[in-house]
Amino acid sequence: MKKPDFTDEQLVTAISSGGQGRETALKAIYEDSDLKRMVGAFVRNHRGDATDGQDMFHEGIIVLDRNIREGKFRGEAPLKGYLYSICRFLWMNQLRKKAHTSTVAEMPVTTEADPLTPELTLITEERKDVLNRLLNELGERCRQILELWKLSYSMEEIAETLGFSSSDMARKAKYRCHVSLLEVIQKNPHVEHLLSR
Amino acid sequence: MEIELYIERVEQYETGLMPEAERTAFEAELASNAELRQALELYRLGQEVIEQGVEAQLRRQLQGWAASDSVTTAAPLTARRVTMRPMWMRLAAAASVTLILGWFSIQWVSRDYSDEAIFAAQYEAPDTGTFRSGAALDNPLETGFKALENNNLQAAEDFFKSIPLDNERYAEAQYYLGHTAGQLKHYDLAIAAFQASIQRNEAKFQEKAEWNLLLVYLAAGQTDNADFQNLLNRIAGNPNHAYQKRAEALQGKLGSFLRKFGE
Repeated sequence: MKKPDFTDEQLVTAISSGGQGRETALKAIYEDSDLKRMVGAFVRNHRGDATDGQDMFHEGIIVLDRNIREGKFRGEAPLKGYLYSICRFLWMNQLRKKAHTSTVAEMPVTTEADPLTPELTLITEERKDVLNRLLNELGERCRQILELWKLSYSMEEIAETLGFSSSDMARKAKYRCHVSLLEVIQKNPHVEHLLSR
Repeated sequence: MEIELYIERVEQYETGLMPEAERTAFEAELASNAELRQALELYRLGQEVIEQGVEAQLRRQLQGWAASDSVTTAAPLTARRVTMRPMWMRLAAAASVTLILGWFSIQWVSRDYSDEAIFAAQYEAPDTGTFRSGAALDNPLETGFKALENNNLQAAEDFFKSIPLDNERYAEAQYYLGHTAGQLKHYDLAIAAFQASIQRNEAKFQEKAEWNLLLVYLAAGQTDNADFQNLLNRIAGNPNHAYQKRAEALQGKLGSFLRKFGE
């Protein structure tokens, strides 16, 4: 069966709008077998294996999703090339970290002139660990509410998805969860140095 | 600082919903009000925390799609040109094929539907690539990972076993202990380790540990175990679980007529 073809604009709009449309768009990107193959080939040609290739493809989609939602992808390059660029960057960055050297010859250095250069926010493993620990301190339901809210779901959609009786109830729950999260962060002893970075 | 005093204004400011005049006033206040600055920083960090959750959820979804691919991807059937033969030849060929298929079916039952064969087809040892990310030298589990990379399973098992309960990476250590013990066929230890990892409820390992616990039960020949059945049903019935499709496929194999025929 032929998969529906989406234009870059449709994909970007769907991801930015969140909800089910975002999932459909991400699935369409995930199913682009040419791109998957290209990323796999790049990783294998640079000291990786098939599993590394798949991991980088997944991580690339995660970064792409975030960059689109945060308005960092401005449509100056085709989406496919942009995602390939992200995957390439992530893999070279991983190799560089592994080698503990900054002299990886093929490392694509960020340049203003390259329209494909992805704008990436790479966070340290230490920071990621602390953020994950904070996240784990929230209850499952609060996590779900805040994640849906972050993905631009309306209060009506959150109420429907999570079974609240009304959008008002969902709004109140979101408020309570958000306050609890910020209080958890405030109380965490590891947070002080994250705030000052 | 009482975050509730600031959260609504900060959110309006950050989401761009604050009217221009108020925005200017807010920015001016930021310069003089340390608590407001702190609330803004806290809010931004909160957004980062939530983003981690969104990313983790997408990562699970991608793994789920990849897992479904590996289940549904079968060798492509190629079209074959068939030439017409006389009827007796076709009947004889059909009879031979039936006999051969019957023989192969029995072989297949014993090979492809046994616990061992299903386990072998489903099990994936941890990807050593995942050990490589991050600051390896600072990683408290690095010794175990090195042992795993070098295929020194016994050393890895001993190391992961030594990680105490109060270690912050206990869930991760138990997860890898489960894999290591499973590969060494120390099934009781592997089952206990995956269960311990699951109990810690860490998103990063939870679903993977659940799936691997199922596989270890399978390798240990404990498919009649109530825990195995409950866990399998729970994963297969949860469309958000990264291994749902694989669990469904596993249910299919375990309930297959061919498997029962082989028993």
